[in-house]
Amino acid sequence: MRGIRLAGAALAVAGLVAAACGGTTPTPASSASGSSAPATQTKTFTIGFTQSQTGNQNVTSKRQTEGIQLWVEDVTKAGGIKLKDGTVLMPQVKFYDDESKTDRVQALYTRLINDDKVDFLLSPYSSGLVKAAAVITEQNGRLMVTAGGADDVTMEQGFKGVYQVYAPGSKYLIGAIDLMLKLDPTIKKVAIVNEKDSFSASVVAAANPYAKSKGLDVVVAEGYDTGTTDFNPFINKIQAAGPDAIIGGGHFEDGTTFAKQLFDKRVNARFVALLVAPAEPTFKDIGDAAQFIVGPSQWEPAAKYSAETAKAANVPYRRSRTPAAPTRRSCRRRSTRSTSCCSTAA
Amino acid sequence: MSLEALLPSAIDGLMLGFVYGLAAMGLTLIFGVMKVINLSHGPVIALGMFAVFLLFSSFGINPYVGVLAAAAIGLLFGTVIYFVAVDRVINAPELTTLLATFSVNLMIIGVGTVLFTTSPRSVDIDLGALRGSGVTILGTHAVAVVIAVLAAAALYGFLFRTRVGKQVRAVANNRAAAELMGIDSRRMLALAFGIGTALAMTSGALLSTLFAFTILSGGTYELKSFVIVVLGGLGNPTGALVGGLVIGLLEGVLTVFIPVAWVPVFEYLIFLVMLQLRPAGLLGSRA
Repeated sequence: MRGIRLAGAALAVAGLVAAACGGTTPTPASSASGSSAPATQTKTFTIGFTQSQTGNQNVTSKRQTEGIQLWVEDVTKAGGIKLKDGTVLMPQVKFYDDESKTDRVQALYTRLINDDKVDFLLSPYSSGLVKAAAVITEQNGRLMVTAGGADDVTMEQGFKGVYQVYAPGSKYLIGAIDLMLKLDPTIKKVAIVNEKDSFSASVVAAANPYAKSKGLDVVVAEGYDTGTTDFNPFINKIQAAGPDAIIGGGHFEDGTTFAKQLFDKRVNARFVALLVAPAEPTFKDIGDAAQFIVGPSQWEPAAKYSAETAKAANVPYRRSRTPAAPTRRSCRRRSTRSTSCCSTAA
Repeated sequence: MSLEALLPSAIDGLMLGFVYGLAAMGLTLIFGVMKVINLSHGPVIALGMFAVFLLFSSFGINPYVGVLAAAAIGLLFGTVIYFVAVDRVINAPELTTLLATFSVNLMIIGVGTVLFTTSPRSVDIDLGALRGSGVTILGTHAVAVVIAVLAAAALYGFLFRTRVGKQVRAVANNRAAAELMGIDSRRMLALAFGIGTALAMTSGALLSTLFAFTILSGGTYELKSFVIVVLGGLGNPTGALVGGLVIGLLEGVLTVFIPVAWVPVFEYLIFLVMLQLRPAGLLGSRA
């Protein structure tokens, strides 16, 4: 289950290496080692990135690293990546703790590029850190795949070597609103409360007008600072406004705390959708407060990808020789019966 | 915005105000007794949070027993801080003691970041809630208020009803005269610093039962403490408690009418206005 959930990170690495093998990377693999069998040359290549082992992003960032490590493990077990000329590429990773801080990210990506001389770069987790890393990779003329940032603004900065794996943040809660209206068309009033970081702001900047375009009355629309732990002022406002639904949130820590405090105050909303936190398995640690909170996901293991489902979803269908990757889906509902995992970016 | 939110917001704010007040009492006691602006106040609050967290998560000790332990550790730790960092510069200009306590701040944050990282922690405790008429009073908040009131009362009992407490007040009023009366002022100053630190750690310990925290969380409450101390009156513990209640109430009530993000702006506006119009604070300094 975790393997599927981490497919996002693994797919990012797979895409990056596929691109590299196609000769599109500006930096060829530089470190060669290992034994060479007859007609086979084995080379190692290093993927560098930072992980938030500490700080606000530590929980979700760890999942991203686990996904990358899962991919490395799978490829290593399979004997590496075999190229047409007989060369075998064996992956390895190099990563440091960025402490969820942008200044650490910039120092460490400089180190990965100039001192460690890694062959490929993946992004850190969360949009703020991705933007910080992108400045360094751009300055050094390096390519970076963003594996954990979805803020639209990142891709509007004019970066030339940054590639995004995830759906843009502006799409994150659109599916939640659609799902909400499909499940309960009588919902009329919605409260939007979000973290005031660029990712969450870009999500609600799209969700707010979309909700209005669907005839919903946005009765509360407020942001809270990153690191907020006391949501009672928001919750009192929400209760007074009497919304039928609440959408918003930000990242894991604040989303979890918000969900817990909503439950403690017995907020009577029929639908709650929060960013990032519900997709994290440890979200269930808050007990009953985690029940029936909806969250967006990038890959959904329960979704089927077939000619029929593709046609129904109005997306192109391509048959693949490899096992189908979990397909992208807008939302899932968390309940005691459905605790499937998925991958989210921020 | 509907006024339905006014009552629950005011109650939430007032309840939090007691804990704010307790934190500010620690800061103002130290300033009132020895004219030291304690910039290690925030990290010490965070240490109170971690004291409860570690005792709870590592040894399964009830968080409210942990609050008592945090107070005791604070008393000891504050005394150590006094002798290590403050004692030798106690008669130097205020900027020197400010820098001395700032160095303690940096050391605690540095060591704390290495030991605890900056990952958020929380003490998982649920005491239920009282609900009615749109108001929810969480058990943890109610207990925090009771403990904060008891701690404030204990401080007053100590300062006004005990011989040692009176000696501390005597040193605060006139150190030279107190020494002429045979009071060991150095001991009293160390004790006052220890009590101030204990109050800060107690407030941190209580906050840990309410919200998630990191080693950096004390900074927010340190800033609030400065606003409260100025509002209530520099060096006046009663003023600090009153100031805490006023700031807590303002935080609660203002959020009903304006976006939450604007509340700190109003708090610091009050800070500036008080400094300009009534620098002695609401209750006057050093009561």
